[in-house]
Amino acid sequence: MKNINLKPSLIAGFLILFLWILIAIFANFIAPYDPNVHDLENTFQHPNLKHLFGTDNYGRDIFSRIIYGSRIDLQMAIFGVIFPFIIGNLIGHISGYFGGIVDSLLMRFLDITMSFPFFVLVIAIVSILGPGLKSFYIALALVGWVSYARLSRSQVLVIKNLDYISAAKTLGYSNVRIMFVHILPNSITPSVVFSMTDAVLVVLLGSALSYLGLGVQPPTAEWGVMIAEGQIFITSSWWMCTFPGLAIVLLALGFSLCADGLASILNVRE
Amino acid sequence: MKNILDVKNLKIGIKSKFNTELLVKNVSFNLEKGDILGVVGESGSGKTLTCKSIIKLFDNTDLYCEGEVIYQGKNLLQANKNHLNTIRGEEISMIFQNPSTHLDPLMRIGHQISETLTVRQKLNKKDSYIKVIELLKSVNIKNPEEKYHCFPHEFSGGMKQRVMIAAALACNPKILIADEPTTALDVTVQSLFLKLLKEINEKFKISIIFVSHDLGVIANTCNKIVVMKKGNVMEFGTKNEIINHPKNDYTKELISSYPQLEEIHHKYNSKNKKIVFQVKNLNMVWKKFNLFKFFKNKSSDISVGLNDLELNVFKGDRIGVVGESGSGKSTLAKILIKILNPSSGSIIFDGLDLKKLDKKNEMKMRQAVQMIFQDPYSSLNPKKTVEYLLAEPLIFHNIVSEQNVLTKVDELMSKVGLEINLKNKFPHQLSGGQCQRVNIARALSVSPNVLIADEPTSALDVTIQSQIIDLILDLSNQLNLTLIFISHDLSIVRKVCDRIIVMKSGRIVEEGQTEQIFNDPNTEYTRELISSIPTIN
Repeated sequence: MKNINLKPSLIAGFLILFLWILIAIFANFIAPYDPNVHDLENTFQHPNLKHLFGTDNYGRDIFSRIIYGSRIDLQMAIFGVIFPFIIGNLIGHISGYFGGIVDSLLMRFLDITMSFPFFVLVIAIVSILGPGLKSFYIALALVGWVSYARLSRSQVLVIKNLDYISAAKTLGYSNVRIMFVHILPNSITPSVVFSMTDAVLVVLLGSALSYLGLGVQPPTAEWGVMIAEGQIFITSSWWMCTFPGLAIVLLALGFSLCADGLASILNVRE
Repeated sequence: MKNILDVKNLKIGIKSKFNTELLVKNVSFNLEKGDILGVVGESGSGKTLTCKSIIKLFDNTDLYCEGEVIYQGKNLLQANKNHLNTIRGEEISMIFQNPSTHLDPLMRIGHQISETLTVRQKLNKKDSYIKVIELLKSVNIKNPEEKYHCFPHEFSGGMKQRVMIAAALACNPKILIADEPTTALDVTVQSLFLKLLKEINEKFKISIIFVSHDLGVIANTCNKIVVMKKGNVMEFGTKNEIINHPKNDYTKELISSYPQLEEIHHKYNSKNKKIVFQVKNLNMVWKKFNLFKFFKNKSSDISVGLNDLELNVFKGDRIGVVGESGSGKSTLAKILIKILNPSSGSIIFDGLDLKKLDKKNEMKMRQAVQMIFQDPYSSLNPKKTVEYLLAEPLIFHNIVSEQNVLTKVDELMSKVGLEINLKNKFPHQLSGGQCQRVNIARALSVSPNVLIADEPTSALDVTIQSQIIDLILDLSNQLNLTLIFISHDLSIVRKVCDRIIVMKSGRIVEEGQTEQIFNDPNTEYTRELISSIPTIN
C-alpha cells in the first residue's frame, strides 16, 4: 500500500475536516464571545469588525455560535454514522455469509424497515423517545443500518464464492475467523466510502430535525437551530441564516471530498 | 503472393506525464493473401494490443502509437474515423476471446448477425435473413432457421464462438483477426473450431491473423508464425522454420516447455495399498428455477452435477481426473474436500465418514486433505501479506510453537522455491506463478497426506506451467502425498498421473492406468478426447 498517489480531493477533504475538528476542540479559544450570552443593546448587528458574522435577535454573536455549534454537528456526524455502520455491517455480513433462512429472515426484516419512508420513521422514533441528541442517535441506529446491511451483504455474496474463502474453509478456519479476518477487510470498502456520504446526510438530517424542534433544543448553538431561528428574520437580517448554512455546506463538502478520494484509494489494486 | 497487410516498426505505449512506457516495441510482420498467421506469446507480450492497433480498436487518447500498418496502400494508423469505420467490419473484422461477453444477451442470434448487414450493406429484411441463414450454415450450425430466433444463453460456448465468426464474416472481410478464440473452449470443441477456421480460410479466401498463447493450437492451424515476447518480435517465419528449426532461444524454450504427449512409464500397483478415499453412489443434484417453464416439464428443472459416482483412492496414488467443462470434475473435488455437501452417497476418508464428522475429526480431516485452486490470484486474500497467509494456518492449527512460526514460514517458502524477501508482499504484487507457489506452500503448511489440485496451471503461461507441474511432482514424491490432479489438459495429466479417470456429464466414463487409457482407450469419448489434443508436430 505504499506509493499511493494522493488525490487532491482527498487532501482538500481531509484539510477541511481537520479544520473543523480543530475549531471544535479549541472553540473556547477561538470564539470571541460566549455563544449564549444575550446582549440586548446589540441586536441585529450587520456583519462588522466587532461581530464578524453579525448578531441575532438576542444580540448573540453568530460567529461564536457557529464555532460552538461545530462541536455538536461533528458529534452528530460521527455518532450518527458509527452506530448504523456497525449494526448494518454486522447484519449484512451474517446474512450474506450464512445465506439460507438466516438471510431470508434478516432481509425481510430489512425490507420492512426500508418500506417506511426514512425521514418519517426517524421523526416517529424521535417523537416517541422525546426530542434530543440521544434519541436522534437511537433513531438513526434503528433506521440507518439498512443501507450498510444491503451494501455489505452484496459484497459478501461475491467474496464468499472466491477461491480464497474456499481455501480458508479447507484449512478448517472457523466461520467467525473467515468472516472477520478474510471477508471483512475486503468487503468494507464500499461501506467506508458510503459512510462519508452518509455523514453529510446525517448532519443535514440533524439540522432538519433541529429545525423541526425535534433535535437539539434552543438555546444550544447548533447550525440547524440557528437557521430555524433566523428564518423569521430572513428578509431583514440575511446573515442569521446564511452563515450557519454555509458552515453546513463546508462540512458536507469536506466529507464528500473525502468520500471521493477514499473511493479511489481503497480500490487501488496495483 | 502479394502482401495484404504490412505492419512496420509498430510501437505502442502508455503515455503518462513524465515518460512513455512502451508495451509494444518495434513489431514488424506481413500478412499474405490467404495466409493464416499465428501470433504466439505469453500474457503481457503485446499480442492483443498489436492486433487491436490494426483496426485501431482502442481509445487512442492515452496511448502512444508509432509506425505503419499498411492496408491497400494506406496507413491505417493515420486513417480518419470514416475511413476506419468502412474498414472495420467490411475489410477487416475481429473475433474475441470470450464469446459469451461479446454477444448481446437480449438480442436474438439472427438479429445480431443481420445487424451488420442491414447497417453496412443496406440489405432489406428478407435478403439479410437469407444471408444470415447461409452464414449460419457455413459455420456448421444445424437447423439455422430454428437457431435464428434463439438467444445467446441457449447456445453453448462453441456455438457462440461460431456465431461470432458468422457475424464477422457477414460483410465478406478480407482479413479476420481472431484474438484467443479458443481459450474459453473445451479441447474437443476447440479442435472442431480450428477445423472450421481452416475451412473458412480456404472457402472464402480470407486471410486470418490468429492470436493465441497456445503453441500447439497455432502450429495446428497456421502456416506463418510470429513469436512475441515483452513487446518484441522474437522470430517470424513459416511454420516449418519456427517449429522445426527455431533460431531464437525463447522460441526454443517455448517449444520445449510445451507439454508433449510423451511416453512416461508409470509403475502402478494398487495391491496392498491403504484406501484413502472411498466414494460410493455419490450424487449431486441442483434444482434449477426457470420462471417461464415453471409450470411445465418438472423433470428438466433438475441439473445433475454428479451421477452415481464410485471411486477408490489408494494411498500414494496420483489420480488424474479429466473431462470437459461441466463434467463435474470441480464438483467432485469440492465434495471430497467437504466445501460442498453431496445430495446423496457416502465418502469414507481414512475410516471417517465425511457426513458424520465431529469437530475434532473435522479438524483432523482438514489438515489431512488440502487443495490448490485454479486461479492463483483469487485464491489468496488480497489484503494479506504472504507471510500472514502462510503463518495463519500454522498458528490456527497449533502446528509449531509460536516462536518457531516465522522460521517455519521461511522453510515453507524455500521449499516451494519462493524468495524469502517476497514475504512482505501482497498477492497483487506477485506474478501468477509466484501466487501459485504461495498457494502450494499454504496447502503444505498443515502437512497434508492428500493434495487435490484443481486445474492448478490453466491460468498460467506455458513456461511457468511446466515449472509448477515439476514442483507439484517433486513435492508429492518428497512428502509421499496422494495426489488428485484435475485438468482438462491430457498431456499434463499423462505426465503427472499414474491412474486416470475420464468424466463426462457427471459420470465416470472410463477409469484405468495412464498407459492403458492413452494406448488403448475403451470408449469413443476417451478416443475423441485424446485425438483432439493439439500437438506441435
